[in-house]
Amino acid sequence: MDIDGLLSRVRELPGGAWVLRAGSKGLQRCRSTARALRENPPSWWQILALGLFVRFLLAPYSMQADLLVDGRATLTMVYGGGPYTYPIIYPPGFSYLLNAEGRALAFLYAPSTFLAPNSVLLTRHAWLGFIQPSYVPGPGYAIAEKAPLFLFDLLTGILLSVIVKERGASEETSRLVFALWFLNPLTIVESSLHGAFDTIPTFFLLATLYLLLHDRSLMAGVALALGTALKIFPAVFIPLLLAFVVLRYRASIKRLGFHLGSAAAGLAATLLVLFLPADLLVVYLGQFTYLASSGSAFGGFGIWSPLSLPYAVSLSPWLRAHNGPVSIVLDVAAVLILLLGTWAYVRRQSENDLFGKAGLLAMVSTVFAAFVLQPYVQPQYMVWLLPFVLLLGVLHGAAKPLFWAISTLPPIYLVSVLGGPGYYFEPLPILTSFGSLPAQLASANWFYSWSFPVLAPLTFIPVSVLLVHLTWKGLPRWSELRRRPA
Amino acid sequence: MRMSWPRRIEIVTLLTLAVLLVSEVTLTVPGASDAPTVSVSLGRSGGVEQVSSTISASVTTDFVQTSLWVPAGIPALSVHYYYDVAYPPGPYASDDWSAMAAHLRNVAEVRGLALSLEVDNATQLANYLSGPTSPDGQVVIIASGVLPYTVFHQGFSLLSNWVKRGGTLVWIGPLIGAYALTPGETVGCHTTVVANGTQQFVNLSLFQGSIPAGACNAKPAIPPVIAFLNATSLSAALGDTFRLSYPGTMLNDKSVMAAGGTDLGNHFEGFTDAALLPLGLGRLLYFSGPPSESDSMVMSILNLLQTGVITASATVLESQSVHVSAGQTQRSQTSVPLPSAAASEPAGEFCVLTFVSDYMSPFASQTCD
Repeated sequence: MDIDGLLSRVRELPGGAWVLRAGSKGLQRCRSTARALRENPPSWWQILALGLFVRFLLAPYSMQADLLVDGRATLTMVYGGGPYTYPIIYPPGFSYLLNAEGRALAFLYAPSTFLAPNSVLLTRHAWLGFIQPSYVPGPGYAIAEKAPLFLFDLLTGILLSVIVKERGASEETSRLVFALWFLNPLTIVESSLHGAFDTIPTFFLLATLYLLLHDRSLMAGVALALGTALKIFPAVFIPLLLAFVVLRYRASIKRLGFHLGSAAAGLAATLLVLFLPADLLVVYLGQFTYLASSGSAFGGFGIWSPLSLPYAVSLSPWLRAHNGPVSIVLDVAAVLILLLGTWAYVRRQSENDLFGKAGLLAMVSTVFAAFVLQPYVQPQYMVWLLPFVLLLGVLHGAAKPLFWAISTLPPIYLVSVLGGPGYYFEPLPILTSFGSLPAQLASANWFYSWSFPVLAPLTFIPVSVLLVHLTWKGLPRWSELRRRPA
Repeated sequence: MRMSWPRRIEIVTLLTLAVLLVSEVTLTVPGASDAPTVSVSLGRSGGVEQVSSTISASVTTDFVQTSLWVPAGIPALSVHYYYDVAYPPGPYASDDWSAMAAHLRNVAEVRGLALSLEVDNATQLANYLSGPTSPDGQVVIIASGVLPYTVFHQGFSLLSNWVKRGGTLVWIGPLIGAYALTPGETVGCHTTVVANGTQQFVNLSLFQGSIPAGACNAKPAIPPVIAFLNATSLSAALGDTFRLSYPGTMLNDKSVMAAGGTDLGNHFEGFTDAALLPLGLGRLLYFSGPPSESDSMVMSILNLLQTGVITASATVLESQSVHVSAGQTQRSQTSVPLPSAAASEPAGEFCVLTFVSDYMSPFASQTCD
């Protein structure tokens, strides 16, 4: 059936004509808006104001379970506990960040108001069979936790526009990159609604690359250590960064030694300061390795969600029982992808630029390797990837479908599926309404039990396929390799 | 002169590092922490205990100060926590139950408690229960909601016999003893049922009036979990914030009393969600819901262990709330009459537990006379 046939079929359905008319009008409105924006693009200040307005609008009365975990850890520390008294799996830098936020907020509010007990929420979730938190973050804590994320969203956007501008792009292109990052649905949802802090290590990873390109090796090492002390994934980039430094300074052993030594010194000194004393490091390593051995690795998020489907459920106990071997296979695969990506970059790079096409493709494959290392892939991990596919699109005209997929699919998944809308937009009791649309949607429990394993792969499978494609594209072809002289 | 972009990025990096370092110092350098300070002095004259306390806090904090009588002193805290990756947890229990052991250990450390906590898998737990260690004063925590077959199955009552010999079992879950799982088996219609298994732990009259579970595969017409929102004076005095129960295992408050048990939980229409029940020479602390709020449960369980309520029959004498504003110090003096049994119990101790009742605070301090 061609498109005209399909449209006439739809028109014959009850209300079909109305739907088509409304769709056509909506499409026209989108086109005219896009045309108007092209003719009269918004200024830096307008983009900034809009991005901050949307963020602060969503921040106070929205949450995800991670925000509650952050709140619990913050309260534990504010009341005199240590960085790992409340067992979290993140590196100590994350605890220090939460502690700083909590102590700053404690000047304004009593800590007992950071998380508010919500009996309405507890009762509702109890009825639905979701054993979800009976506490929700108060608006003060929600803003205190999320505001630093907004700052790093902004800093990352600025850095991206600086990177683009330094490569000869126009003022408009530079502003476009800023807008594509700062107004991106993924970054907005992650920082203002979810409260996921992935934007901070992502900024420091990008800062590491940028500082290396400007021969600031010592501070590049410090930036990489900061990112790693907040979330471990930037450490996965070390092989690629090492390859870049060696290639960049290979002509002079003296310069190579200086820059390698400076970067290593900055990295090691910062890591030592943030991960020591030794007993803290031991506790962190215990927490970090705990998840892999606890069997909760196969919980049903992201790429593992198909295991929640009927007939696939029976695989879950098997995976729990064989968690160790399965994890080892995936770890080996991740290391292979990592090394292959770095190797491809070394073979293909013809310029001393990490933001060349080969460099960016290598970064995409490195993030992909980091995904494979994770027991499950959550939507916020896409923030790690977003700057690189954005730069691929703007600087090299590549990976645009991937950019749009990442920008739209994970936020849709986050808002609509992960525990249901009620899980996200759950205000304090005074604003909770049983008659609200989210509450009515959430009462259809069966919807979530089915949509969860179906919608999660719908968001991650296309992204994963595109990632594999890009990784493959970044690798030298066998025919090319054969042609090369030994 | 305008600052270059690389220099600006370096400054952002250094500023962030400075913030994290200051925060690190307040968390890891001894003496720099903002933990509350509590000083309690006790003095006995006749049948009355004089309690003087000084409490200060750097942030606005709510405390509860509870006086208890412990007839024979508090035994050393020895806990075996069951966790086995090969045995999935029961219905509505998340994987939280696996993290609870680490949290228990960490909070005990903040409190300065000498807690011996071992995490046992199904086989290790069976070995421990059948081993030579006397069960007196020993505690086993099972938070998965399902018993592994290694300690309990049809015709095999290792766990219940251990409790009857003097051990203390903390159970968090639905009907205890109803099922016994083999590795990889999940709770469902096919689960191995242990006939009369529950009766080996408790009298079924405890659940009188609760809502029986629906038929297998039928869509439940009743809420799968019920929220228990009414605190009692005892649950407040001991900081019990556990507030859920499976409808089929709600504990009938009157039946708990009739069985010689102690109602420690929060309430819903004549039912409680936690009770301490006698079983032979030992005790069963029954939490009748899933461990979904394990974070606050950790504080509840540690309070009960620290005071000796579940291991040494400690009884609460009285309790008071203390509000301390940020940077302030609260001083108070009270007189607490000792129970009449105190005169005939020379090994008995009068103790005061001071804990922060605010959510997630790990802090508690106990002074005994």
